[in-house]
Amino acid sequence: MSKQYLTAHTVDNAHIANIFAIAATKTAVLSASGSSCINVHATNKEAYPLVQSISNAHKLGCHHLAVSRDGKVAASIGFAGELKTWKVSDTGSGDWEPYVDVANGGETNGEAWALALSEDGSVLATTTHSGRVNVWRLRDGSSQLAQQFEPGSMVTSAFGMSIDISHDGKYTATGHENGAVYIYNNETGRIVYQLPGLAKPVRAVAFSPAGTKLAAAGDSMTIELYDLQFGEHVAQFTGHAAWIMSIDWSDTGEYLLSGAYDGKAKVWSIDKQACVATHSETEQALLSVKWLPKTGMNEMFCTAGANKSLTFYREATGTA
Amino acid sequence: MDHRRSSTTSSFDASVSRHGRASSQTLLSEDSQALFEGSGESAQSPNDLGQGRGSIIDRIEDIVESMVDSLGENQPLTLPLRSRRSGNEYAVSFPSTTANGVKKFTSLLQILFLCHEALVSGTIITKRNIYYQNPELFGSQDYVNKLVDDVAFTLGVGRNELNIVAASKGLVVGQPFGTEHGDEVVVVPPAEAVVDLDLRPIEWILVVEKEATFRSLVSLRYHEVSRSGRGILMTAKGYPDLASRQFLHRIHSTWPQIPIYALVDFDPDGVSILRTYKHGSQGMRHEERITVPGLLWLGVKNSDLLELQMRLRPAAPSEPSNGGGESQSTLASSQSSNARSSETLARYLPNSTRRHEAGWKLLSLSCRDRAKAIRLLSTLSDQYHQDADEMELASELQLMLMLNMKFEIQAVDRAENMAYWLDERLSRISAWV
Repeated sequence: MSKQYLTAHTVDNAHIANIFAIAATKTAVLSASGSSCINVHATNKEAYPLVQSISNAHKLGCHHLAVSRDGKVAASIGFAGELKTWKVSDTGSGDWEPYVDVANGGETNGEAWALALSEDGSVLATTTHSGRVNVWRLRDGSSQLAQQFEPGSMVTSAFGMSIDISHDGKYTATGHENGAVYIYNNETGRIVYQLPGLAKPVRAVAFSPAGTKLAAAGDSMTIELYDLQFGEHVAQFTGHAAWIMSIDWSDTGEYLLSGAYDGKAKVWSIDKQACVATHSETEQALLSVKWLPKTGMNEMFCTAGANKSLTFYREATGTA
Repeated sequence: MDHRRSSTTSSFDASVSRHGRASSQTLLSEDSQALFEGSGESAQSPNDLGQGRGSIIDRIEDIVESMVDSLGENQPLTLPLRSRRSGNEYAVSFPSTTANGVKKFTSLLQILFLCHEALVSGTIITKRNIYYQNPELFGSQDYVNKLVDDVAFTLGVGRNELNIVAASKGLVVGQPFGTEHGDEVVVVPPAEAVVDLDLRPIEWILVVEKEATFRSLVSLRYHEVSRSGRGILMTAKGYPDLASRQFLHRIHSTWPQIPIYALVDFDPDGVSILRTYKHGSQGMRHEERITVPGLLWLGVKNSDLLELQMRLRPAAPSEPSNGGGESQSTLASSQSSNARSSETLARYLPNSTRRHEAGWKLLSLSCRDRAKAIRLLSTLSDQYHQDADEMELASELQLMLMLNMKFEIQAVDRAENMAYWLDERLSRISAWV
């Protein structure tokens, strides 16, 4: 059985440069690109209008962006390595405004790379070029470096390319350039698992909503699925023909969405362990793909990348 | 004579105040780094040269300062010069009783000025460059050569340490050069010689970053057998020297209808080299007639990465293609096609040899690469009005950082692949232009 998705809308040229990252709340999609602004497009309005553009967010452009699942806190990292946090304004306008300053943990400029936020935005984790992981606790008006993980001295070229925090905020997973995947306990600061790697750069890691599985993908062009109870490798999804740049779990944990460098997006059924939909709106690289939090009857997702546009898909109704 | 002297001195003074000590330090630390870093493979790179570059700059400035003092004290101006034959130092002064003395003084001042400029900006100039700065004054190339060596001897350094080289490090091949068959590699001729060249049969000019690539293309006689017609191949072996840039500029202004393409690595140095050809190095902004803004970036770009990936993918299983706007009706690929493609994929997955197939090599960025890319990115974003070219550069740099990969052109045994790639690319880009 396959699923059918329709293009619901495309916001052409949502940015003037490549879109490197998108993040979705219940009402909006935030996008970051090679230009200096972060844009916010409303997803609860007709034609997905641009409702806010945070100008000069990152002077040299922004490569990573995340938003907490409650939709209240966001964080972004620019090409100069600067880390910024954002929150929804208390005024009720719905606008995003600067949140707490996060000292870069003594990293030299340009070191902070990927980032993730916990469900309520109170935990922020970032990777660095050297493979170190910094975990911050964000509270009103302040940030505190809570943990620092080192992948260990035996690892060389372990650039931390991807990171995720489990929904409960307890665990951090990182994917590295050398193919290694680590899972850390945010409380104890210990490595829980060092998962059998992909041997090639891991460009995306994602915890399932229940926190029972981890998906990892990258230049191997495969998605590897791990069970977190015992750290076992349980499945491999093959079918992409280019580097996988981004993956995301659906709210229910039933489906995985993936986007690859050849512009193809795929939806995978965890149950069937198979690809159930493939879309290629563009031949240009997809750099970020995200499900929109489910608000209506139908699942929706959004893709973005080198074509500078935001493409929204909606699950077709009435499919068998 | 008087007029000439005053104009030369004043331009020197102006340059000293412009590049005064403080600013020369800044230039040294930022700008010329580009040169230092990128020129690993060139024999005459500034890398091998002046550790004491700063001190040579200081000494030249000291000489000028003492002249300024003399002016204030109403004394004759003197330049110290050590004879290479006797080893004795004597003073070349102004005013002088002989015309020869005046000429020597003025020439020396000009040479010191050019050395100073080259050192401060971190560029390399040729003796030929110096001669053509003021042929009337110097009279002959020999005269320049002799004085340059005298200056080096006086300062107690090698000529290379003054950032002066005997000739351009650039190489060029094509019908207008060398023998009648045009298959002889020659050193880039002085820009002034361009007027004598007949480039009418030439359809394209390709500037390649690396000498090894240049050599393999020469061995294929690509400049003659290219599907795009007769061409000229050129390399400046990494970061281009002044003479190579002047030459290219002159060609472009004399024969603007001939497209000039650049083939550089997909790495921060490649991008920086491309910028140097197009817009000059920052230290040489005031130098005119050395840039080629119309230079076309042939590759290697991030899109080539994708093409390489596509070439490596299985030819057989075609997924249900849903191009463009028809995706409304698009259905997913079925499970069975999935299984099939995974099987074939296993056979085609890139391995290290395949990655070299077309002469490319895919590597991770080093810390230095990343730092350099970020630095370049910030110089690009400094510009108030980024033009399309610079937006493309910024975009490629960002993708490079995002992928954390660079893509180098290798010296390949199977250069035919390179030629094939070039044929394809040249015809595509010329159709587009």
